[in-house]
Amino acid sequence: MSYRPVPILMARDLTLSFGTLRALESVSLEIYPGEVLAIVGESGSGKTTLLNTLYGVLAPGAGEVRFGENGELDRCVQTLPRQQLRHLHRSAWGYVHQNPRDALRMEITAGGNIVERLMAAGEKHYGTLREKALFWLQKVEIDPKRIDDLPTTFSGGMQQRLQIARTLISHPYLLFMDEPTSGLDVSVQAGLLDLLRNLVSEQRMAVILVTHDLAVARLLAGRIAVMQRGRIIETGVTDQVLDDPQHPYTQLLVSSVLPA
Amino acid sequence: MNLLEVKDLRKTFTLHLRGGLQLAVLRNISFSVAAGECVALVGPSGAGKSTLLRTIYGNYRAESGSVTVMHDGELVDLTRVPPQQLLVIRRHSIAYVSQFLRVIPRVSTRAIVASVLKDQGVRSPDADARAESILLTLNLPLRLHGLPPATFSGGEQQRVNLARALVTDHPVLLLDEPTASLDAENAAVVLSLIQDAKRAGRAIISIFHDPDMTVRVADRQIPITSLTENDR
Repeated sequence: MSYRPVPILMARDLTLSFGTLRALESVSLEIYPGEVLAIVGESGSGKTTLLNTLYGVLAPGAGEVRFGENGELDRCVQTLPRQQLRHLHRSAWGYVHQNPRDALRMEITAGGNIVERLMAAGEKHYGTLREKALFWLQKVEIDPKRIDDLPTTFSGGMQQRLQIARTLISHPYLLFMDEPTSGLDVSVQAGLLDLLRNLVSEQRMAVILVTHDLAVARLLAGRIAVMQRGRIIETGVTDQVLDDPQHPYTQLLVSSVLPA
Repeated sequence: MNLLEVKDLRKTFTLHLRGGLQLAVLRNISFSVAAGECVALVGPSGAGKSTLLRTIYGNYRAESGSVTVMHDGELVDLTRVPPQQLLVIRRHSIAYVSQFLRVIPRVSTRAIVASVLKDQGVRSPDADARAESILLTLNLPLRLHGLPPATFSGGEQQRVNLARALVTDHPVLLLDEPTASLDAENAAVVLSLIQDAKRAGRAIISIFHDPDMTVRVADRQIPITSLTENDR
């Protein structure tokens, strides 16, 4: 078989304890270019802890996360110098928080928020920055007239769109998302899901998506990993795992969802 | 040339929440489908016809046996490929039409159908035009194309689902009761689209609720029988 995709990120045997609590127990996974991997499970199962460990803001007690863009996993998140990690976080990787207020700078305008990554990368030309800000506002379906307004005047759904624009402007090849739609009204959620699906397929990004919502995982993710008590207990193609779950816990999780 | 070969396929469901109850559904299923051929799965309700289609598509995991599909010029066993490759093969080589439409809410019908082409790399104006064309063929008028299908009737939703599979040229097509909610006129349209697909050299496996449809469009019938205690 000639088909051998090369992962852009690979975690091996991640273990992490908070005091006596085992938050991660030998977790291994791979992310391939252009795919969406959903990490699902109940609250407290270790989803966000795993995401933050992969991202490099939590240090595992054991194991490592390797990554690389050019078909070689030649760099390691845990041994990367702090400054390089910070640079990675501002450019080639992106992180979308559940609460947009954790990422946005509430005291600067929408436009200022969107172009922050470009400015950090050295772009100084006002006209170019303004043009990019307008472009991305349109892309996430926010009225460009709001460019000079503060995010505090935006609704929750608009703040989340702003956070997405601000993150995607640097064209990251890997995006980390922590419950990006769960704080929103269902009507807003549908629009955001559609937007994310289109942006992901258009930008060819890889996405690691943490969600407790199996319906969100089904609509966005090609692959899924189910977590329970700090372990990945089942993985596979999303519809396969949700429609034909093998592990007792996955069967419980899937059968516990109220049909809409 | 065979585009699909199923060999010794076996499927049992284990229900852990029911004390590990084992449900044997498929045993020793073997058949093949050639290019330009339509085979119908026939048998009583509950015999496992839909389960077989889903297991071929990889929606259900085969317990043992193989499902070989022609993909990119070579035969690939879907039960053995890694998830990433299964997704690629589904994008290009094997399509499945379930009885239910499952899509992101509030997305237009046109966009839902065009997205299948866009996932294959077809650009926007072309993908939209092809989506509109197949929707019109399936008697879904232009005024519905901009609306999300949530408010559509059962028959209209089923035609949106069919449009998603017929807008592309996946060589293998799996259809689960494609005409179940359709009136005679629309069923006839689907029938002629299946005939077109056969002429185009696609291989089709279908379940029809209407025996008359089976006779009119299927080249062969594959009986699926309910398992008895002895089979388990």
